[in-house]
Amino acid sequence: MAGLLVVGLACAIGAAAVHAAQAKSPSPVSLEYAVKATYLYKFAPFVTWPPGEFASTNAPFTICVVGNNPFDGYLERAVAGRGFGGHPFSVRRLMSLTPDAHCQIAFLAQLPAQDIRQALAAVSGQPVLTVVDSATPDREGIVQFVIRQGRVGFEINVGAASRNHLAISSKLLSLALAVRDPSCRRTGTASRSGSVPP
Amino acid sequence: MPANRDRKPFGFRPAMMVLAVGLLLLVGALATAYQYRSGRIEHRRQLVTQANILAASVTAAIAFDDRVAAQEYVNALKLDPRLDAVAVYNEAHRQVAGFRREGSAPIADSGLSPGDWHQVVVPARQGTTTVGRVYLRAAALPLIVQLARYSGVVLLTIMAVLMLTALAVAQSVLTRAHASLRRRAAELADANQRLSVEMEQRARTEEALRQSQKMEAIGQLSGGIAHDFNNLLMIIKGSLTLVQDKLLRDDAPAHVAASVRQRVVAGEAATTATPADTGAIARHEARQQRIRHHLEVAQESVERAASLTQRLLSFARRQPLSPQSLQLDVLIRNMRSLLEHSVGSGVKIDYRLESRRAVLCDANQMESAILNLVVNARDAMPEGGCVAICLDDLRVDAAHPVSGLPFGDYVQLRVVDNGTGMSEEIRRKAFDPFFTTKPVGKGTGLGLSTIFGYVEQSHGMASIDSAIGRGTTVRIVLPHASATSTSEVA
Repeated sequence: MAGLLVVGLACAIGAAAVHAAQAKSPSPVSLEYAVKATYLYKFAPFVTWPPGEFASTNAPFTICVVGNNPFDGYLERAVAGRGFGGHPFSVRRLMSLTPDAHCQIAFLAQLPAQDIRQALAAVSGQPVLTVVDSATPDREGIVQFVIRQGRVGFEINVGAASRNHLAISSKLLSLALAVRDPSCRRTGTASRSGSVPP
Repeated sequence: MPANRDRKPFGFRPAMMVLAVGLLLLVGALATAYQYRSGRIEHRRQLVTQANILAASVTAAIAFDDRVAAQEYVNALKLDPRLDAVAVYNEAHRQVAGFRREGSAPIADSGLSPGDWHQVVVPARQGTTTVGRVYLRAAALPLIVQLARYSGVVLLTIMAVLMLTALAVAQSVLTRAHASLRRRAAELADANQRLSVEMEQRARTEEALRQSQKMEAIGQLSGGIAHDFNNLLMIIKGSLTLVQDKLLRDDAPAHVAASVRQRVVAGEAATTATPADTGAIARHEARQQRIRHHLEVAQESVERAASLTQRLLSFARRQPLSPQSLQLDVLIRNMRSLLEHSVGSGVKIDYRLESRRAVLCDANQMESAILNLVVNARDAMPEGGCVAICLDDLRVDAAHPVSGLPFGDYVQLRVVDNGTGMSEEIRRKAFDPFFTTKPVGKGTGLGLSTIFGYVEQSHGMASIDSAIGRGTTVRIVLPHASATSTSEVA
């Protein structure tokens, strides 16, 4: 099963990314997490943070990886030299998420010290895009990675996003497998199934 | 020719027409080029806009490698038949989505050659982050579509050129017709003028002919009458002379002596005349005196009648002339005292004798003619004035013709006064015999007619030029007597 998944993912992600991953990574990370790492920083352009989020025009854009690090340094290499509108990406490792963490994006995987709920609650109302790994599903996160038909997809909780004062581009929403808005009691289910890679 | 000069500014000028057509074609070509260029720019702008729209829509699909979503966006563009191929590439130069029509080449992610206006590329940006590129390639337009696009301008240009050409042709035809009309009008006017001149000349000739016929007729009539009359007068004159001679030879004393002798024979004393005889003689003489007086009156009348017939004969050109070669200036100079005596003190005579040529004419007649003319001139100036007697050479040739005279050298005598002049009607009758404007008993009406006859008989010409208030000029033209003719006479 895991082998099949890996094969599927290998086909799904960009060959260049694979090349990069292979070239830059002495210890190969799993393709699934390579794709997830890529998605993490690609979310940034489709999300609007409230004004005043950044202290200066060239302040770093911080991606926090909370808990166990599944990327094994791949994320750091992938964002190296990239930025978001003048803010260079930087990756921080946290064991637990606290309200004063100052993250723009927080990736929550296996948390040894904290419950996912606690971590989410810690940054609730703060402009932090919380991304929950598919291994630890929790619907209160803003973005939830899911694996469907061998592809990495994501669901979006619009209510959680608005609680955290974030606006998410409709383009991103249209790609989401599901869009949830608990405040409206409206649960958008996946409008379209993930396509099978050619 | 004025027609030619007028024709120029309005004339048809092929060069101008060709220039206009050329300009028109140039403008048409420019308009077509502009349309082509602006069409291309517009087309390219549409392409760019389409590419931008696609790029904006497809960013998320590129970023998260969602080929299905990307292809959906791309397929929407498939409906546009003007698009030949579309390609969406991600950051890693991998094609995410795209399509191409049958037969068209795939789009490579390798920039564009600058001259390729069919193809556009725009970056797909989300915010400030570039996630990929979108390529669009327009289909090459079929030739027929391109032609149809410019057919409007081409058609308009062709129409304009055709119209111009038609206009030019019409103009040239009109101009030609106009020119020929003008020519014909000019010819007609010319012919008309010639005709009127000829008519005038003909009228003059007819008038002259009538005048000459009239003069001829009058001359013949009066000449015939005068001739016969003259003969009769000669007989009467001779008879009168005979009667007078007879009367003078059988004088009164002889008659008385005869009666006395008869009485002596009868025995009466013949020594003394009786008183009765004396009375008889006196009565006889008185009677004789009366008869002589009557005879003299008759003879005088005969003389006058003879003079009249003479002048009539002169008018009729039947008078015997003794022509001789003479210089008129000499003749006139010799007449000066006579002429000045004739005109009196109130009139001045101006002599302008500039001809030395000899003419062949009768000196006596010439003198009387000049005297006559000068006296006439004086009579035309009752309040005095000036008479000019002009004498000059005259040459009649083709350049200076004088009607009624053959070409040759002439001497012209003019008697000019500045008197009352005469009307045209009177002028025409002036040479007629017995025509006079003078009171009854003052003029015979034969003066000018005598001159006319005399001049004609001398192969010359006499004419009058006059207008009321401007005086009168009588002109006598006599042929120059050449050396040969002079010697012949001499």
